[in-house]
Amino acid sequence: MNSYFIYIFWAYGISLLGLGFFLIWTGVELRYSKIALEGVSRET
Amino acid sequence: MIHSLAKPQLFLKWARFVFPVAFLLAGLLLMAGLYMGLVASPPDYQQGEAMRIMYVHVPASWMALFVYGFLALMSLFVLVWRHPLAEVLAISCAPIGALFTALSLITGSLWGKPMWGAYWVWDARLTSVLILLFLYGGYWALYKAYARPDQGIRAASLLALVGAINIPIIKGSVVWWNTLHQPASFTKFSSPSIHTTMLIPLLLMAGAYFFYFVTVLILRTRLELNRRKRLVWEMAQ
Repeated sequence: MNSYFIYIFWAYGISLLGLGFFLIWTGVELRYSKIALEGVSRET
Repeated sequence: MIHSLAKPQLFLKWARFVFPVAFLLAGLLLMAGLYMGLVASPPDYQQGEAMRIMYVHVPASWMALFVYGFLALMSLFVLVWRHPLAEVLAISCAPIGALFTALSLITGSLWGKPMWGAYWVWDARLTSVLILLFLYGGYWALYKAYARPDQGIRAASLLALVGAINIPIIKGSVVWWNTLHQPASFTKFSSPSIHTTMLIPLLLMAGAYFFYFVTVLILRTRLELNRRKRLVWEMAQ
């Protein structure tokens, strides 16, 4: 790698972090939606 | 036929089988693509090592366009047939498409700086992709602006269909106008103007991004169905 390393590092880093974070965030949202749904069904 | 096959319950049953396969394929293809792209593939004779950014930039751009095409198709189903699964799929795919578009713009600007000397230029390709990001944002904002999801989805679907005109503009922008952005190097499978050693990691990463989309789409569809179930139960109380 040479002087372009920093651009390659950021491009791959942001891409992988972006994809990873979005996947985890969606998983967390799904988990909370299930909990909320169970809560509503228990009340009714 | 479409109505009988595309039921949310049937989708969930189908998704239970597809989800682990798509998740595994996304992971495997990503690992193979990263190895091939960062280690095994040679540097470009003109752009040197900076060309490796292509392996994350181009798949993100392809997926940004593909997801918008999918969103426009689902929006057509919503407006014409008022199909509930199309509604859920459209809402679920919009944030994923926005993510791919944002990644395409960010990685593109990181590629542009060493090659063009600037992170951003108001070039036809870059501007039309920025408009695509605004369309995804506008779609989501319009959907959320209505208290009732059934009203929001119809307004947002109309915007998605009108915005579909931007897709051929993005594709043609590098041909129709004199732009700084390079023309498409992959126009047909028979003779792509890219060497096999670079084509393989590009296709591996494109496959990884596609299966990532399938994985997250299934998760977000389940999420949206849960939200709707909750809304119905709350309204019934």
